[in-house]
Amino acid sequence: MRTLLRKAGPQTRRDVLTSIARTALGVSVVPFANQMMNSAAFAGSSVAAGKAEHVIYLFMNGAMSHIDTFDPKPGTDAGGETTAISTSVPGLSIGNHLPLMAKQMNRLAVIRSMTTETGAHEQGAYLMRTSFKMIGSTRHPFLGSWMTHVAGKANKDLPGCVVVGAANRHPGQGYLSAETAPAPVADPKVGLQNTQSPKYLKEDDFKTRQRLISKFDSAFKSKYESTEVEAYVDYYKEAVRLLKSSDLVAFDISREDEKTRSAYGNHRVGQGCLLARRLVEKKVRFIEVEFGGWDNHNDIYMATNLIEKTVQLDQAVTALLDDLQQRGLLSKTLVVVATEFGRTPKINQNAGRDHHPGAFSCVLAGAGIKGGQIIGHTDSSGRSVEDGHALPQDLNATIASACGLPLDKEFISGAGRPFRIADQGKSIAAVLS
Amino acid sequence: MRRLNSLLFVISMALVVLCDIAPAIAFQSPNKANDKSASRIPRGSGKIDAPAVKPVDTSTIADIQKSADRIDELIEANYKKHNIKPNASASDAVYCRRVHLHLAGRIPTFEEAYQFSLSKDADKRTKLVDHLLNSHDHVSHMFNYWADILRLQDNPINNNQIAQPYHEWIKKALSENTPYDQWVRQMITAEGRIWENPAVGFSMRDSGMELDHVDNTVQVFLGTQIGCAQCHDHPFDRWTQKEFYQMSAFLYGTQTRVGAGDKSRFPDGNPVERLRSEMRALDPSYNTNGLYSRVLIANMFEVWENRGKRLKLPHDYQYDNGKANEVVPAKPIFGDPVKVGKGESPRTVFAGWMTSPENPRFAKNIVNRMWKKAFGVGLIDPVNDIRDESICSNPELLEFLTKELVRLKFDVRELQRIICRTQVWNRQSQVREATSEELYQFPGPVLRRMSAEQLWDSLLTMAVYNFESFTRPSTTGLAETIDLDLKTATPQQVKKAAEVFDARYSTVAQRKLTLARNSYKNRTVLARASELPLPLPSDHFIRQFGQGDRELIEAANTDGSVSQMLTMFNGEITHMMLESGSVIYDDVINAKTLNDRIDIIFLSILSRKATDTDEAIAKAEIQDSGNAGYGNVIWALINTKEFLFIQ
Repeated sequence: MRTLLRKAGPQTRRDVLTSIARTALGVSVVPFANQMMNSAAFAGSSVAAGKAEHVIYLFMNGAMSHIDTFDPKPGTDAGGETTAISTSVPGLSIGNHLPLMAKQMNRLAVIRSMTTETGAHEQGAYLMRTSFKMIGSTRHPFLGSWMTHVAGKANKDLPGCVVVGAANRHPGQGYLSAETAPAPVADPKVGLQNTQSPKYLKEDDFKTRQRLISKFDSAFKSKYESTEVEAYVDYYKEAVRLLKSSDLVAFDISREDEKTRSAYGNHRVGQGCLLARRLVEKKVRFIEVEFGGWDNHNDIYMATNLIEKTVQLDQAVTALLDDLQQRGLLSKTLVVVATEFGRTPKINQNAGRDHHPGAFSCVLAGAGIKGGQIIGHTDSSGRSVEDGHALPQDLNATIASACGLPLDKEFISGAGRPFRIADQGKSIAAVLS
Repeated sequence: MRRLNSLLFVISMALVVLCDIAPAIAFQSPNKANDKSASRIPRGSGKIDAPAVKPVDTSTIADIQKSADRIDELIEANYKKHNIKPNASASDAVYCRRVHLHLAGRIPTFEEAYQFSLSKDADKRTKLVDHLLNSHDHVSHMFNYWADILRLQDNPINNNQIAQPYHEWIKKALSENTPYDQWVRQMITAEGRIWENPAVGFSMRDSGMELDHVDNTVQVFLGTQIGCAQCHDHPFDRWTQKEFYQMSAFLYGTQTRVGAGDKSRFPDGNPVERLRSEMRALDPSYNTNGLYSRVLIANMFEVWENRGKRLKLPHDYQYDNGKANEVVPAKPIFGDPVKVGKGESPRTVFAGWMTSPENPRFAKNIVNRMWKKAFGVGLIDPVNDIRDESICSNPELLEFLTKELVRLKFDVRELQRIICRTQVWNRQSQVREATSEELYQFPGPVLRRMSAEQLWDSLLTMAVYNFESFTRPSTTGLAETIDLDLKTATPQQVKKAAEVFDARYSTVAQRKLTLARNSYKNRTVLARASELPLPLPSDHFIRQFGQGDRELIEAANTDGSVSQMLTMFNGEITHMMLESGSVIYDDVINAKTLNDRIDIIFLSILSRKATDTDEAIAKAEIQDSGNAGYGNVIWALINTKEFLFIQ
């Protein structure tokens, strides 16, 4: 393999790598394929032992106002209607719409010094998820696909990573193989698509149909002995295995009792977090939960806008952390609250806040994280970061470090270009435990 | 066998009787009769809401044969040189399926496959090619092909643009068979708003990304990647950063947006602010963001050329051949070193240079792409990264094809007609591993998985009648609705425009219209792939099978995944097929004998008759499971690799 890659020029290397992905027949071979890719791309460097085996990444789509959530500026013009409340950690306070998280402050590391380079949603979200600028020639993988690629699946029956939400314009697996693609779950209440057989079809009928497929297929398969055709046979087997897997119920949140469901909150982010917890229980590596509605250019303090979203986020995160703790999963699960950028200190003529890439806040909790602290700070109006500047790449480096993913390794993309998981990002040492 | 047949005949007669008295019995269930009222599967109107397709010129057939013969000579020369044994000629059944998928983007219907198998006409393959090239199916299929290359999205650039008129214009150009060079020139030089000159959609797709626009244009039309040189000298190819900038200088004056604060354009002040505040004054509760704002922003997108705009080297320019912030004069990266003369438009000069028959890569790029489309592998592969040192598997052939395209005045459809006429394209297909390091010498076309769009359209072919009339609502009338003179517009006009837009052209309105017209269970839109929103949501059938999100050039793939299998097993489309009112269901139920029914099933799904083995398996199943057995056979065949792959 190594010789093959060395012989191949930068462009044929793309074909070789893609074909490894394609010829990786089924899940069992994938870790091996990964090893080949890694060792071929660079020699040596080993994966450090991390603490987080799973990540639940909550993405506040639309740009969450930092000033109204984790970086309040009470008593200033910039502060608006949001005030500050004290937390379970003496001396630390956060916004008043987050009373439950305030009580859990000992678990949270709030980064107030996030800063990014773009104020456009799509580009900003892309940078947050991938550590790279959106460019025309390369699609970069999001962190969940990286984790699946490098750490491998921990449950061979289920997808390695899942994105809960619309997942449109999501970078997905980028240049990594389709095996590492996130499984999309559009609605947490519906779960994974197409896992329910039509009602008329009984278990036996399904078996009959499977037998028929392989009978009808045998002539074609013996005529065309191709890895691509063979791969489909394997995907087919995997799909049958998934359908039969007892772990499939992880996608069905209706199996939770009413008390648990309402503890998380009967809203998108709450039910998304509940689904994420169920998936972590079944060892899915990375679950992103999208939560939109933060693009508050108008009437930010109207009940149905920022405040409602914040209250829901507060409930969902708190329930999630408690539940993970109770089940002994918090020590191996990293929880992240992220967004693409912040919002302006100035409240505009429509009583809203506009895009503000200069400063924003993100939160980390759980495995590998030292809670009970606030990292960095912004100026009195929340306009610019004064201390502890952290770029999206730095946040991703921190997450990767907490998971034991290598930051210094170079991976070769399809086009033969070298990339690192968090580009040039540096982990924020103070956050890591 | 004969005995089995006669035995089964009795059984099938019994079934016929059963079906005659209860034609609405579903294949899904042996016992439960379906709703006997109207089928849930929509029937197309049969009316085709698209411009007529210009027919191919039947008088050129002798020239086509001559070209095809020459291609075969050049291919065979390489068989000898490389000791390749060519594959045998493909059967009529394989050919019929392949040519439908290749030119019409779908499998043949039962009727088409059956008629072709019966025909004794010696010219039937040629006639079928012409027939398909004259069809709307071909336009639809080529639209999907270009949509992936041109990254077509309904609302590109942060959802702010309305690009559908551009997409309709591309379909129109394909219907009229506009010469390729002319089509490309129109896109590169177009000016105006998208509803008055839809070709501007090409420049608008890269709005705000002037340098990426050059990179994309060169990659798509010259098959060359210069993007690396945007930031530094190209590490693998010969382009320097300076050359990238020189090339970019031609298109740098392309403006895609009007600034609301542009004093020279709006001397009386910012029209967007004015219209918003006037509206709020009229009605303080009115939401001037939402659609009101959308209509205003759509009017800000306009393409024109600012000839005075100069491109400078970047502030951190690091090479000796230029200074930071130095103005760069326009100069092509290769070929004829054209200059922009006084009073000339740099875009037009660039378009002329790029699409010239003299350009060493323009014609070559498209013939190489068309070859790859037909055979699965380009003569130079990958097709989007041609370099001076790229190895071509058959340079004489590439040269010949390039000259042919110039002779044909860039008639790409005629080139496809020639390729389909060659013996090599008529051969049986060949497995080629992606890991293969050997140059491919074309013993036959490569076995490939259907594209996501081919798969979807093929399933629809079996499911719905009047398939070609399942279109999306057009944007005819958009210009009258939305076009505003921002200097003089009144808030009432903007409000009116927003209302009409909301009712007729918005994504939500379009979805409502399509749902009302062609949907299954009032939630799944059944329109062919080229008539669905772009991009589709990531959980849509077509996306699951590898359609790209249209962010990157050629982002589509044919990789497999577990979720594809789940979709095929349990998704709505495959089960819809088994309901009364689907084409395949009706065809099967209306046939008289069991043998006929089995042939219909195989011809509808695999475009061939059942082999003896197939027949025995199918009969045994139908014997065991009764009516539901038909459903099981159909479902199983749709889930075979033979269905999924193009031979």
